[in-house]
Amino acid sequence: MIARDLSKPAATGLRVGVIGIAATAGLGYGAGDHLSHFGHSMLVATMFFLSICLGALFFTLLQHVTSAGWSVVVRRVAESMTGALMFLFPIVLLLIGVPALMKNGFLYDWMATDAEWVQNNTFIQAKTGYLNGPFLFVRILIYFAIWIGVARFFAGQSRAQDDDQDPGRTLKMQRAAGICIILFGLATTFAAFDFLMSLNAEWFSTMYGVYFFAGAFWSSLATLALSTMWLEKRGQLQGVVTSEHYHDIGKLMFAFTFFWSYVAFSQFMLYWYADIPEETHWFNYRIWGDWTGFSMLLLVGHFAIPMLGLLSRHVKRNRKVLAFWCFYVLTFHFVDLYWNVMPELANGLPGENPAQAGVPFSAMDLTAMIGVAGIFVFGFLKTLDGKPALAIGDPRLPESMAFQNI
Amino acid sequence: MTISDPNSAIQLGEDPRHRPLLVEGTGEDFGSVTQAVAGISEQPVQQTNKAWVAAFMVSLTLLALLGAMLFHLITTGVGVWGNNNPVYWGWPIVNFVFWVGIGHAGTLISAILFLTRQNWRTGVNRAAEAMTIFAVVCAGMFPGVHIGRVWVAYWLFPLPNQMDMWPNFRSPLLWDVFAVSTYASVSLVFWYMGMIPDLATLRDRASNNIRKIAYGIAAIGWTGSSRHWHRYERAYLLLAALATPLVLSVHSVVSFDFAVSQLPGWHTTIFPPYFVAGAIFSGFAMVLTLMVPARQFFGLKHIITMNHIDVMCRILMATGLLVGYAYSIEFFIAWYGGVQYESFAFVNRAFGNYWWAYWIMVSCNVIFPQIFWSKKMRRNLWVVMLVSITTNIGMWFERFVITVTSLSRDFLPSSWGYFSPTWVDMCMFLGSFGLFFTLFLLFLRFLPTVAMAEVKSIMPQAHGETSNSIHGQGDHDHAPAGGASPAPADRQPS
Amino acid sequence: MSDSNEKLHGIVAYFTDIDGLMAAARKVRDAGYKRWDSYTPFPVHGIDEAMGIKPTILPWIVLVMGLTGLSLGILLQWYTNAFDYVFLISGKPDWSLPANIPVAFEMVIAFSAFTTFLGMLALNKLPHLSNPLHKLESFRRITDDRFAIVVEAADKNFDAGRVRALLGAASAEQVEDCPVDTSRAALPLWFHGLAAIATCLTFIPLAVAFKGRFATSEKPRYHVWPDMDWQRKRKTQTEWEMFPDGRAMRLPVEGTIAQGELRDDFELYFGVDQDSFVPDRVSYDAGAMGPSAEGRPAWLTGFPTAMVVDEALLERGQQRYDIYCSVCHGQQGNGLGSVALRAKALDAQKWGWVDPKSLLADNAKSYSNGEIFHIVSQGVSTMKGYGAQIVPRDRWAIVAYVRALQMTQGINRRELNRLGVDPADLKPVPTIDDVRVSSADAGR
Repeated sequence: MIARDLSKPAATGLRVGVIGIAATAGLGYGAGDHLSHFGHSMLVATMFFLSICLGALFFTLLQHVTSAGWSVVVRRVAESMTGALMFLFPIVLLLIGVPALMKNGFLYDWMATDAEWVQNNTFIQAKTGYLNGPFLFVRILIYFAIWIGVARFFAGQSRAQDDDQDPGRTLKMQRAAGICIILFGLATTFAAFDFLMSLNAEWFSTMYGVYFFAGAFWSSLATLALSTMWLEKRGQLQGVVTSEHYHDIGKLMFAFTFFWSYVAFSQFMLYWYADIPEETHWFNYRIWGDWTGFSMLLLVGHFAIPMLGLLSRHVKRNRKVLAFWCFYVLTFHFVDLYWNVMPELANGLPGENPAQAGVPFSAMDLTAMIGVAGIFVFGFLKTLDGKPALAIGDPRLPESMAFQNI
Repeated sequence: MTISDPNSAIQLGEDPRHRPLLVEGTGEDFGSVTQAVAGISEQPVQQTNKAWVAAFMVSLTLLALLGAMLFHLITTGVGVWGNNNPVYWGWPIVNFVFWVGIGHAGTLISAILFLTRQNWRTGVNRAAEAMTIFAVVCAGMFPGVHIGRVWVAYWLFPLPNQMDMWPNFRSPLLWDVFAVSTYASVSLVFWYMGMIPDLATLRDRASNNIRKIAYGIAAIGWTGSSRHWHRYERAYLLLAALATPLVLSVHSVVSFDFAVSQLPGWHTTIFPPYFVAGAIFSGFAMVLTLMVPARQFFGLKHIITMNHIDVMCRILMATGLLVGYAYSIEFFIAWYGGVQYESFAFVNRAFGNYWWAYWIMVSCNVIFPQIFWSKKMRRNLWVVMLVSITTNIGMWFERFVITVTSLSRDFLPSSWGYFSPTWVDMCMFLGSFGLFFTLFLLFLRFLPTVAMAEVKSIMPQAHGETSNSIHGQGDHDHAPAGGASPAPADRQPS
Repeated sequence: MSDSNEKLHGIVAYFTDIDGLMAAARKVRDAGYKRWDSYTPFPVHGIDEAMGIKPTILPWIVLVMGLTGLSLGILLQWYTNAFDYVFLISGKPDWSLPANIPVAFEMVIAFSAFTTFLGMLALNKLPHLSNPLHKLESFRRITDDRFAIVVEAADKNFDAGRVRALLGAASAEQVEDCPVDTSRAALPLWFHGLAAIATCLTFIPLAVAFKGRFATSEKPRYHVWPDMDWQRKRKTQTEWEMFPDGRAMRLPVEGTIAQGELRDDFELYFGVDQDSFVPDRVSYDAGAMGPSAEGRPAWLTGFPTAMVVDEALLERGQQRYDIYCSVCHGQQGNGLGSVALRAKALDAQKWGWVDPKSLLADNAKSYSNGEIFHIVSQGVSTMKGYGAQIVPRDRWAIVAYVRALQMTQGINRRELNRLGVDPADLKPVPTIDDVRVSSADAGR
């Protein structure tokens, strides 16, 4: 059951990561737009993998807080995924924290605090107490301290249990999970506000944290299922993880397809209906203009198709079919983040109308994804390497292995 | 794999290696569960529990009060309420949202907990579902009379008429009509369908003709056939899967009534999930308020155990925290958004005319439930009762704060006002409790309070020896022999 | 109970635990029986497979009905709000899909949920109140703590002896025969009577509604809410003896002027000099230009000082003229409006019709601006006044436009330039007398 020989794929991941990010930087430098597109592409990619890590962290916490039995066999995979947080931290710091200190608005318009239009903007000036470089930098440190701290605690306890098989550790984690989930919720909400919502510093939505979380958990479930299948193929979880477990992951994925749609629709509908200019402009240039097609793609692809596709139990119990849907889910999580981030590329630039700037596809979008994916895979596999691929010391392991859906 | 010696630090009943039994006590079998539950409704009228009779008398009195208030209201007009301009949604709408929120735990406990395989739900789901329906009855009454001319209430529905007019489907108030009526009818179906097997039990145990006929008709000839059970279970699963988004949608639609407007304090995007969390919160509080005394008086302590109460307290605390999360995010974004009306609305809530209502809400909903971090408190029934009641008070005040503070202070200072309820407002609210408790007490007395069939299905005896052992070969390993019928394709041997 | 003379419904075997039931079920299944069933107090996990029950088609029926609900929900909202009864509300488009999602969603749920429930009942053939098994005393424990297997006599392979042996060998607690139920339905006679009466009673409201729909009545309708129908107030144009003049309506206080009704700018509001008197409707006797010179008001010859005459005013004037004046006077001002043409086609003069005047005629040109304004406001001869429809500033805009028409003879120079026509080539503007209209055109 020990996950061996992962150092090679991990090293490949690291190499791909470094090359990918370097290539993105090169392309970005060549684009001559003061790294603006580079920044946005990197943000999409970083948020994509950060959200997967956070979803996995939430998955771990959720299983503990509800004393779940079914999920023990896949929990170790989720725990290991959170190991990648360590390696995403410097990227976030360089991409968001440092420019904030340097007052460079290449990614977040509000960071250019010396620019005239920022100083004349009452909406941005009203929130300088929150949106300012030093405070944001500190906040990033706090977020990652919470995430990494919680992740390491649970992964550490779980691994210690492999050795001593002490059921007391399960209770310890169960007790800690409650308070940790509160910390996680707050950190993730405000991170969503800071990293994504403040791209357009004039806009605001109370739902945004929930919206980000819904997509994060959705995509992390897909990654969890895919990683488990991959490990099974390598012979590490074979005979332990059954279609029953995939069925359950699939059910959660289906539920979160619905939940994301519910949150996204509520957010859109309330702003559409009330039609207040300072709120609707964010949707306005996404939905009416050159982004119309992309928005329809998001609506159909993120909601309608997976809703129908994941409905049947046969889909959820068949590994191959489920794998397709997992890739699909990841694709549309990317589409979702792209839709959130990219229209802001043109927004705020003088003389640019984001509704008419078009969808700015570029090779950078792809290389950034490949690069950060490499870092993520490296962090994930390095954490898992040489350790049991499932929580062999967990007292609920037998329950999980014998688990059957009714 | 081997497991080392049990750690001495683990308390009894907490050991993660064993799931505690859901039905407590030694020698409990199917028959004793039937006896405990069905026995309640089979008690002769003369021997009815004294506490029940007393409670029923009080409820009937309050129900009569409600009747008198409705008569007064309808014959006189809605001017008897304290509603004014600008607070044109006063207590009636506060009460509506309060009751409809309580009406959520029932279907939630049944549906979502069913889907997430929380087997402990079987002890409380029936009572919670019943509570749902009675709460929705109370809820539906308030907007029903709030329209003023109740005799034309049917105009709410899209019926062809001689005026060639149709209702306005772009209005959230009409969405409400659809959502609440769908919810009421689907909950009723869900409740009734779950009850059919238990009604059959009561029918088969009936000792006199009236009971035989009444339960016989209600049980529609249920036999317990496995072929029936197969479709029944699938239908139950489908209903649960349909009811779950329904629960979410209903309170979201109620929140849309507020949130689609432009009024500061109402128009915020977190309202839908925040209302849903609040509804679950108040619903669980009401279940606790009802079931703690009921299990005491009707001898159901071994079926609705302390573990049930423990779990419900934890859910209460968790949803309380979600509500607290919404309160704080609302406050933060009101400031962050930089819109002066919005920030004023929130400062006004906390420190304006209605500051007392706001702080009652915060203490009851966010602060008091935190006592349940302590296991000792979760197991002290007096504390549980107290906190569940304060939660309901807090949730009523939440709706009061949202409705009244925002309306009384909108954009123009010249149209500011203050709301005071009249005695009719208060008596109607009190009377709605009469309606609720009258129905609920009748349910406790005459219908199967606990889902017997479901409780039996989660007892250890319900799993034959072959499928009971954890490592053992489940029934799935017995490949269908003789080709009587092919096994379903997806059932692979595990 | 097991009288061999009675017709057999089936053979029942009782079990005390799940394992016995499961083992027996597998045996019966393997023996090839089709018309048999097991009966349990709760759904037994794994019995479907032991019995060989195929998955139900219920989910598919529900899916179809759910989609039907979706379509009907959307269709209903489109038909009622965007097609049949269109009205504007809160600035939303008639067909606003985001606002239609909640109701459509509820319809999906409602349709699916009721299909689930009713479909389950239908597939299970419930309600089914009369069942021979319910006659068996022991069978009552099925809903309590016993399990049973029933092999029905209707099965093709049924042989009472073999079945008894099979079930007896399967560790059954008890095996008994279930006779066919020949007794009447269990419900007593009085119940049927009551049900019949109740059914009849339900038709009464329907009958009343039908009578109300199709019968007429001389009597006034019944007033349910008299205080609403007869409110303690007086309506407009009614008597009230309380006031000396006996009228319920009160006159405004002497000298009251409604908001916006203070007309102190005589030039703007009446088309006369500030110190002139204000004329009533002027009548122009044939041949003479109105009242004698000393009785005539001091008509304004230019435009009021409050008006600025510019291109915008002319454009406004053209627009107002085309709306209000052109139907009679024609877009060119030559009196060839569509009303005039139709009147000519009908030969309306025999009923006293007077042709609209050509504004390009010399006497029309000779009127002063104030006079034209006055005519627009108060009317003249058979023309009615437009003061009630057109606000004073727009009337002045019309005056300005009429002056422009008179100067250009109704020819739009910009149009001419665009078409490349030389104004000199144009024929004289026709008048109503130049036009011949056949009475056949009158029908158009």
